[in-house]
Amino acid sequence: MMKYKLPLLVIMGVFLSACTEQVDLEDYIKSESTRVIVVEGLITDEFKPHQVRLTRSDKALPDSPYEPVSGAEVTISDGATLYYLTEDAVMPGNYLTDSIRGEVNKTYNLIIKLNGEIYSASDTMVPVLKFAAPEGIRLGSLNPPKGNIQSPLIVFGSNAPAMVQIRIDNPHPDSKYTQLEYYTFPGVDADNILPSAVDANLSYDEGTQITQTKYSLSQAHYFFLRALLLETEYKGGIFGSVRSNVPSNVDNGAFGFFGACAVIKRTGTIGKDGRLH
Amino acid sequence: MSVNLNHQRLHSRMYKKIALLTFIFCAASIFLQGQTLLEKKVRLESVTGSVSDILNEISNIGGFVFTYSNQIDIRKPVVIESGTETVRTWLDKIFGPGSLDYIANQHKIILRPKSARDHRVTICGHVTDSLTGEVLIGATILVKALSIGTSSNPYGFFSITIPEGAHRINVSFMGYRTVSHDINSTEDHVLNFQLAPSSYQLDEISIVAYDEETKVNINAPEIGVHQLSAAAIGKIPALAGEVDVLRALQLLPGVKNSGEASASISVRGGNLDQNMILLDEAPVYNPSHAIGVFSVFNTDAVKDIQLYKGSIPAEYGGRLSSIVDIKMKDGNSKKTVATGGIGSISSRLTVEGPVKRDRSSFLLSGRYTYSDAITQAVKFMRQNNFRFYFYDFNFKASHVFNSRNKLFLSSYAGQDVNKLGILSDVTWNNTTGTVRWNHIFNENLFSNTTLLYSEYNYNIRAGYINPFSWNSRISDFTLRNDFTFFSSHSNTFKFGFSSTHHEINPGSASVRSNADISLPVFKALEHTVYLSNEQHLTKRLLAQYGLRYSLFQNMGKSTVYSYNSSHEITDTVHHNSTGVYHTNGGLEPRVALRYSLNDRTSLKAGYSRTCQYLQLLSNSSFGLSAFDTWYPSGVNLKPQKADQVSIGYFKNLQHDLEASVEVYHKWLYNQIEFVDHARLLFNPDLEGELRIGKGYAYGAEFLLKKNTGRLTGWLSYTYARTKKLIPEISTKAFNANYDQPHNITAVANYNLTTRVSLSGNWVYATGRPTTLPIESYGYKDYHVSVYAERNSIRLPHYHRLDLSLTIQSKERPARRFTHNWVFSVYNVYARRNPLMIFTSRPFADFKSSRGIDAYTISILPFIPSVTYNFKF
Repeated sequence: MMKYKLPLLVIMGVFLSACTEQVDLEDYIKSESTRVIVVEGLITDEFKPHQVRLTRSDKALPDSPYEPVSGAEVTISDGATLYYLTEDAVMPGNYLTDSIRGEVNKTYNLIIKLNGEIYSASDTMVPVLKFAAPEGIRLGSLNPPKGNIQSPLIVFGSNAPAMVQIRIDNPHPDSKYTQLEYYTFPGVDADNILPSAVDANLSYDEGTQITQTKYSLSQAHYFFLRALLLETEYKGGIFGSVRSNVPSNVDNGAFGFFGACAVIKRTGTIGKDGRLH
Repeated sequence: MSVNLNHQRLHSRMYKKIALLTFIFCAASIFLQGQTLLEKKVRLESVTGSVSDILNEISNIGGFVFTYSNQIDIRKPVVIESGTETVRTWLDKIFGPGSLDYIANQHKIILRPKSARDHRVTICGHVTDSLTGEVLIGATILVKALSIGTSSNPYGFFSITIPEGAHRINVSFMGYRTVSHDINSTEDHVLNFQLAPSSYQLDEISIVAYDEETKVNINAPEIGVHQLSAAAIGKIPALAGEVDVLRALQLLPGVKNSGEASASISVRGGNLDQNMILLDEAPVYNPSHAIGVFSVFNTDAVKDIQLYKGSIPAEYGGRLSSIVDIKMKDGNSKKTVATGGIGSISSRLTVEGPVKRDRSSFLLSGRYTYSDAITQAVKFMRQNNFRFYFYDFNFKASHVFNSRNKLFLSSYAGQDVNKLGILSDVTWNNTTGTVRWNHIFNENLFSNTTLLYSEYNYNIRAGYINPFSWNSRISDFTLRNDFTFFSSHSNTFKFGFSSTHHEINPGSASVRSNADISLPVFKALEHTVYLSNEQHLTKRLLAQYGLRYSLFQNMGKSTVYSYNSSHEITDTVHHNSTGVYHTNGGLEPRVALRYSLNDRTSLKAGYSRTCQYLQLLSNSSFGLSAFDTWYPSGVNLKPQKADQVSIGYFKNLQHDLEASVEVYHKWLYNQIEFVDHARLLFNPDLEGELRIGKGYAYGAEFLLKKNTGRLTGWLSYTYARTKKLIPEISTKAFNANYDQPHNITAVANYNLTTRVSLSGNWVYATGRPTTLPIESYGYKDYHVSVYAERNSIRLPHYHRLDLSLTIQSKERPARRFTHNWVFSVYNVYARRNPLMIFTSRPFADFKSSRGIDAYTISILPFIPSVTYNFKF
C-alpha cells in the first residue's frame, strides 16, 4: 500500500484530499476462523530438498502468527515415483523431501492426510523461457561502481509468466537486503498500473555478485500469484478491482497453492564501470 | 353453348361499362355546370341590405336559386360595393372566405355551414426566448377552452390543430412569463412565440398566470422524466465551485453516484454504462474529467437536460436504464454576449451572438483548469514532467435559411492529461460533432436529419523499469432522421431511423520487453427504426405508445472463440471478410399512459423494453473510469435487455408545489459480471472472463418540488433495491454495487434579497454494499484475506451537507456588465464518508510489521471554494 501511496497522493492531492483512518473491522463484520489448512509448496527441477509448508487460517485480523500444522502425512508423486516428506523438527509445519529433482512437463500430485481428511493438489512443471534482456531489472548508478538494483514488483508484457529472484553476494555495506523477488506477467492490471515506488535498498558495489533465478509458472500458478498480489500488495489502490478470494489448487476446501517450477539461473559480477559482467 | 355464354358475358360487361361511362359523364356535366354557376360573373351595384337581399339580387341576375341552411344568418346587414365578380367571390365577400361550403348543380347553389370536422386550422411555429432567441424545449401550447394542447419539440417547434374561429392560445414554460395570444384564424398559418424570462415583461401581448393545465408534470404522458435547465443546476452548491450536470442529476430521486469521487450515475439500479449520455444527440462515452470527479459538460454552453429513467420514448434507445439528453445552447441570436467565471479549479469563457440577427448565431465556450499552472510553477513538478489538467471546448452555430429550413453545427472536444513524470501518463479525450438540418415540410410535418461523429480514446503509459503504453478507442459515425407528424389535435406521430457505424479498439499496446500487443478492432453496425404516437384517447386519457426495432451487426475481420461450459476455448473461427458475420436484434415496445383525475392530479403508468449492444467492461471497485473498455455484443455475448414497469401519482398542491410518487420494477437480462480477478486488459480471450446472469431492481420515489417563489428546490425520498443473480458468481442473489435502499435528498435555494441567495443540499443514503474479509491466512509473507459473501456488508451511512451563497451585482439598466460571487462549501460538517474498507499492514510500520489492520479511505472533506462569474 505504502509503495504506491506517493503517486496516489500526488493525484489525490491535486484533485481531492484523501483521508485514511484505522477502524475496527469487528464493527462491520463478525470475524471467524474456520481453521482451514493452508498449503504453500513448491517442487522444482533443482536437485535439493523441496518444501511444503502447512499452516491454518485465522480470523481476518490475526493476533498471532498463523499456526503451523504438525503431524500430517505428506507425499508428492509424479505418477511413477512417490516421495514422502518429513516434518522439520526445528520448523513445525515445514515438510521436506529428500534431495530430489523434478522434471519438466511432468505433473506432480501433492497428497496431505491429516486427522482423517485428505487434501490433494497437482501442478504441471512447464519449461522456463530463457532470460530476456533486461528482464525487468535496471541497474541504476550515479556513482559507479556503486549502485542500486531497481525493479518493480510486477513487470508487464512478458512472453510467459515467471517468478524471478535476485540475490546479491558481497553487497554494499549500506544494503538492507540481499534478495528481492519480482514477477513477470503477460497481462496488465489496472490495480497495479501505477508503479510501486522502487525498492532501491538492494545496493551493490564493485565485485558484487548478482544471481537471477527464474521460475516458470503454470497457468494456474500464474493466476494464483496474480490474484495473491492483487489481494495483498495492490489492495485498496485507486484503480483497485472488486475484492474476491484468491484461487487455490488444493481441494477439500483448503487454501494456498502447490506449484511445480522449472528453474534457470544466471550470475554476473559488477565491474569497475558499474556494469554487470 | 359456351360461345353464347361468353357472348352474353361480353355484352353484359359492355353494358356495365357504358352505364358507368354515362354516369361519370352525367356527373361530370352536372359538376361542371355547377362549377360554371359559381364562376359565372355577376355585376352588382352598390348595395346596402341584408344577406337575404343580396342573395336574391344575385339569384335574379344569375338565373338560379340559392338554398341554405337555417343556421346561416340571412338577416345580417351587409354592405357591398359595386363591381363585377364571380358568384363565388361575391359569396366569399358576403360570408367570409372559407366559412361556408358552396355546392352547385344545374340551377341551384346550396349554401351550407362547414362542419366542425372540416373547419380546422393548423398553427405551427417556434417558441423562443425573447431575449436570446434560444428555442425553448418542452414549452406548453394550450387552447384552454378546447382542452387542446401540445408542447414544443427539442427544436422549439410546435404544431397544433384547432377548429377554425376565435381562440385564445396560452404558451408557457418554466421560468418564463406565460403568453396569452388571441387568434381568429380561418387558414393554416405560422405563429411564433417569444417568451420573456420571469423577471421581464412583454408589452405587446398580455401576460397570464402560470396555469395548472400547462404543467408538464401532471399533463405529459411520460413517467420517470426530469427536466433541468442550466440555470437550475447553477443554483445547486457545487464541488469546488464547478457547476456540474451529472452531479446535479445525482440529486434526483432514483439517481445515485458510483462513489464520492465519481460524477458517474446509476439510474434505478442500472450499471454506470447503462445510461446513454447525449450531447446534441452525440453519445459521450466517458463523460468525466479528473478521474471521474467532474463531468465534461460546461454548463455555460448547456441549455437543457432531460433525464428519462422510466418510460423512455421510442426515439431513444441503446442503453438499458436511462437517457440523459443534453442540449447545447444555440447561441444568442439577438446580441453578442460574453459569460464566464473564475473558479477554484478552472476558468471558463463563453462568447455567443448573432452573425446575422435572428438568422444566424454562434457560440464558443471553453474551460481550462489551473492545476497545470501549479505543476509548471513548482520546480520539482516541472522538472519531472508532472502535469495535471483538463479542458473543454464547445462550439455551436445555427442558421435559419428560411421559415422551413434551419441548420445547426455543434461540436465538443475535451481532454484530460494526468502525467506523473517518468512513472505514468493517463490521458483521455472525447470529441463529438453534430450536423443537424431541421426541415418543415408543412404545418403538420417536421423533420430533423442528423449526421454525427463521436470519439473517445484514452492512452496510458506506465512502468519505469519496463515501460509500456496502451491506447484504446471507440468511435461512432451516425446518420439519423426523425420525423414528427402532427396528424390532428389528438394524434402526434413520431417516426424515424438511425444507422451507426461503431469502431472499437479495446486496446493496442507497446511493451518494451516484448512485441507490441494488439487486440482485434471490432466493427459493428447498429440500426434502428421506430414509430410512436401520442394520442388523446379521451379528454382525460393520454397515451404515448410506440415500437422500436434495433439491429446490431458485427462485421469485419475478427476471431471468434467457442467456449465450453467451463469457459475454455474449444474452437476458433477467423472471419476474414469485411462483411457482417453476426446479427442480433430485438423489438422494443414503449408505452406511457396518463389519466387526469382532475386539473391538478393525474395517474401515470409506463412500460419500456430496452436493448443495449455495447457494454463497458469495468471491474473497478471505485467506479473510476480511466481503464474501462467498451465491448460489443456478439456471438458469445448476447445483448443486454431490460423490462421496466412503473406507475405514478402526480399532484400539484398549493403554493406551486409539485408532488409525486413513482413505483417501478425493472427486470434486467443478460447482465454481465466478471470472474474473480478477471483479466480485462489486454486479454484477447476477454469473453472467457465474463459471467452472465439476471438482475432486478425495484423501488418507490417520493418527490416534493417547488419551482417558483423565494424558496425553490425539492425534497425526495427513495427506497430502492437492486440485486443480481449470476449463478457462476453466487448461488443466490446478491446486492448490486449500487444497492442503497434509503436515500433522502433535500435541495433548496432561498432568495434572501433580490441580490443575495442561499443554496444548500443535504444528502443521505444507506451505506454502499461492500465485500469484507471474514478470515485470513498466510502465504509467503502475505496476509491473504478470505471474504464473506459478495456485497454482504454495508459501509457506514453516507450523508453530506453542501452550502453556497451567491451575491449578485447591482442591476444597472444602462450597464451591460453584471457579475456575481459564489461562495460554496462542499461537505460542510466534514463528514468522513468511507469510500472503501481495506486491510493492510500497519501504515506506521509498513515495512517491518507482520501485523495487519483495517482502514477506511474517505475523500472530499470540507472543500471550500470561491467562484466569480460575469456576463456582459
